Amino acid sequence: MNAPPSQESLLLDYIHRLDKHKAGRAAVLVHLSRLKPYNRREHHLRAAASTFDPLVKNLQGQLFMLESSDLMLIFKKDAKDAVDTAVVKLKFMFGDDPLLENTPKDQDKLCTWYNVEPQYDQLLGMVQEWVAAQTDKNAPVKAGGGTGRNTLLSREQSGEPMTPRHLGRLENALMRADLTNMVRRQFICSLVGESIPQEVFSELFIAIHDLQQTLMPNINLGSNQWLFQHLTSSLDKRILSMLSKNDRNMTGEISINLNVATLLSQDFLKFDDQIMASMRGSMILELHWVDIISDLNSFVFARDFVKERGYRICIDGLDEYTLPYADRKKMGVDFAKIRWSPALLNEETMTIDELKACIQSMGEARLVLCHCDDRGAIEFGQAVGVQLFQGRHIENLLAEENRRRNMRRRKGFRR
Amino acid sequence: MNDTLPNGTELSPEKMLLDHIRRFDRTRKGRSAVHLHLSQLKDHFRQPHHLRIAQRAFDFLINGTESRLYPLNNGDFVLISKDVPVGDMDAALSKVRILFNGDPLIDDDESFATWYDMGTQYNEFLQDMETVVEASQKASAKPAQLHPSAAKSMAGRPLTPESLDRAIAVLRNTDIFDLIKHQAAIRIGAGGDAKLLFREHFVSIGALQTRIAPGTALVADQWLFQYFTEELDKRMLVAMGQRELSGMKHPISINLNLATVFSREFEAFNNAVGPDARKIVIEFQTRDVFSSLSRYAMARKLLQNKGYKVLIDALNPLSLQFFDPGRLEPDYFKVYWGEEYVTGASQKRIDEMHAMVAKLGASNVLMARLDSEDAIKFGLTLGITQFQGHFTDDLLRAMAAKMGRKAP
Repeated sequence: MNAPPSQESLLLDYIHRLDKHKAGRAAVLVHLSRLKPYNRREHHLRAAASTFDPLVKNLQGQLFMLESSDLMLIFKKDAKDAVDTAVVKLKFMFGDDPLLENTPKDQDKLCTWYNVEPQYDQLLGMVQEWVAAQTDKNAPVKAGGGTGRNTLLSREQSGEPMTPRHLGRLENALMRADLTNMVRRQFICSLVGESIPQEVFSELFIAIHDLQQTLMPNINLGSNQWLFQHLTSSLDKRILSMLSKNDRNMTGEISINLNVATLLSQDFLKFDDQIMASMRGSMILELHWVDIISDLNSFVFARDFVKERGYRICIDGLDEYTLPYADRKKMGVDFAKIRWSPALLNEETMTIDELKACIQSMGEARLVLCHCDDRGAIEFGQAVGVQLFQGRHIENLLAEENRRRNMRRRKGFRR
Repeated sequence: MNDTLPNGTELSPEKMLLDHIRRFDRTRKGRSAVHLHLSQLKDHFRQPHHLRIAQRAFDFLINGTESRLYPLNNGDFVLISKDVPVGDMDAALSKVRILFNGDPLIDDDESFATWYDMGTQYNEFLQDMETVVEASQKASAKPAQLHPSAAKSMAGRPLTPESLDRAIAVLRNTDIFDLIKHQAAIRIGAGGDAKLLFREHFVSIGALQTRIAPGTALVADQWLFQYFTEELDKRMLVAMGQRELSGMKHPISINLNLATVFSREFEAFNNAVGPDARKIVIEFQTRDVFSSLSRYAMARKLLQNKGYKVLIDALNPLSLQFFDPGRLEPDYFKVYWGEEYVTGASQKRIDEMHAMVAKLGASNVLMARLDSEDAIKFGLTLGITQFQGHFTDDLLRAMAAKMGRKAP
């Protein structure tokens, strides 16, 4: 199969065709390639591109996602206001990037604007160069067959996709592997304004990244949702037996991830027998949304069983798409977790008001915004009414607070 | 809770129950018993794991009082207690009731449980238990009787990653053309006449299993099976391509995974279908749809732009209680018929169903897996006019015969 035409060549084709309709058109080149790499991951680029979706949908503009990560939008001038709005949103999204943070307001390092009619030749020349550069670069790879560079690149970055055979090997290895050093703990904290995070509960989980690095370094364990889901049920058994053998980690309120089918298995009944009755009340069982939705009958049965035993339940794995479907109260669970992503800012899936309404109906103290890796995530969450947070940024805040406390203690000692 | 004798043989709970009853012949005072008729639960509640978990409801009695529980082979439980207040025994029973909420059995006190006071009913209890034990022993160890088709595809060793790998390798070199079955979905007109809506084409998993992986239960693991269906989709599309796709006379539907829509095989299928895409309905499973709604949104737009119709499969009364699928904006919602629509459904539930059908748009709802024509009558009262079941093909034929023409 031939590789699909590149965005650059589609853009070139488009500009050629534009020759007769240049009047009243403008273009903007969004230099996402100038952002720091951590702001340029696949999901960032997707989210950035989707900011322009409404324009494209209304046929007011055409968007091209270039190989460099830059975006090129060619639009009708009467849509300028809408384009400006989208750009403001983009700048907000990447507000913490040095490119925007350290730039005076009157300078625009993110966007270059073009007026198509007078600048047509300049645009055409620029795109022609891009296409030429691309043809040169791809030539040797294409000669080797294959659908190309992108496949190779994604393999380099995340490993080969997992197959059933890999899964079988991995699950066999899991039976013997010592996973105790792969167990991580992350705190779920309430955070109001600038105050110190207050720990509400902590999640114990097996770090998939470490598992992959140790047991299957070149395989992307998450490449297929269904095989990954199967893998998690094997991990369930391990975490249950680890916890019942060793309750060193079981201090305070803790949560663990389990599958619905695991709750109905002998392994869970054994675990339930072995732990102290008082432990059940301080445990939260996190069930993944896809797992719940896959077999609602089993979920309802398992839910009623574990709640009666004293456990609490949290729905895990919600995103901006699934949030409107998951009614925490109707589902009869105690907490829900939604994953932070810049796409939450993309109002096409859900407007900010809809999001706020969803959060409010969940109960602000019942919804956790997780994967908060930076300050921006927390600020966004607080702005839409979230009170509970989890993620690397929270861990950093807690560590900082610990350092400060130790320092104060040491100072006191010296005195 | 089978006890083991020194020679290694196990004592059945039935035998232990009768022994126990006979032993307290002279010390009946203060003893009471409850027989829970769990063997009468619906099939899907009578799985071994359900019954295992239900036993837990009695833990606090067994640990804290003089009580013993006998879970019998047929699924029934017998609880015998001494000096335990009725309220405490009730507490255990209501825990069981919560677990089986939704099953008509628990709504009726008498069919759910029989109580015995040993002071006055010892002989009656002994007699009843002798009958129950005899019946239970006949029931063998199989707790739930599955549908014949399901039972066939469930039989065998459960699928493992290794056997999945082998099954897929065989599937890739197997022609499945002759395993494709079909079933009509019909629309009932205002005059009571039935017209063909489309014909669902699907691969019979039982037959496929016999051909490519005899002795392996393909559907035993939901996640591995889901992965398997992604491969099966591709084979199905290739097999469908062998049929005369262009100039198709009647509309059809096929089941696909979202991932398949973006595959080369679908591209080839789409090219072969041409403008007849508008006669094809693509069915998606809720599990697949909700695992990636963004991918669903993309697939739906892509398909609808090409003229295909999109159907959300496998909704049921329970899922409709949990979430509103309206935002998915497909062309059809396929809702599985369940007995819970009529048995044990409160007026409130029926009103809710009414409202849901109205909200989704009655003309978008298709009620499937019907087991009888009565189900059609019930569907019609909800405003639904589109139906599918094992008898819909016969119904079409009968209608056509009456009108003096050949069935479509």
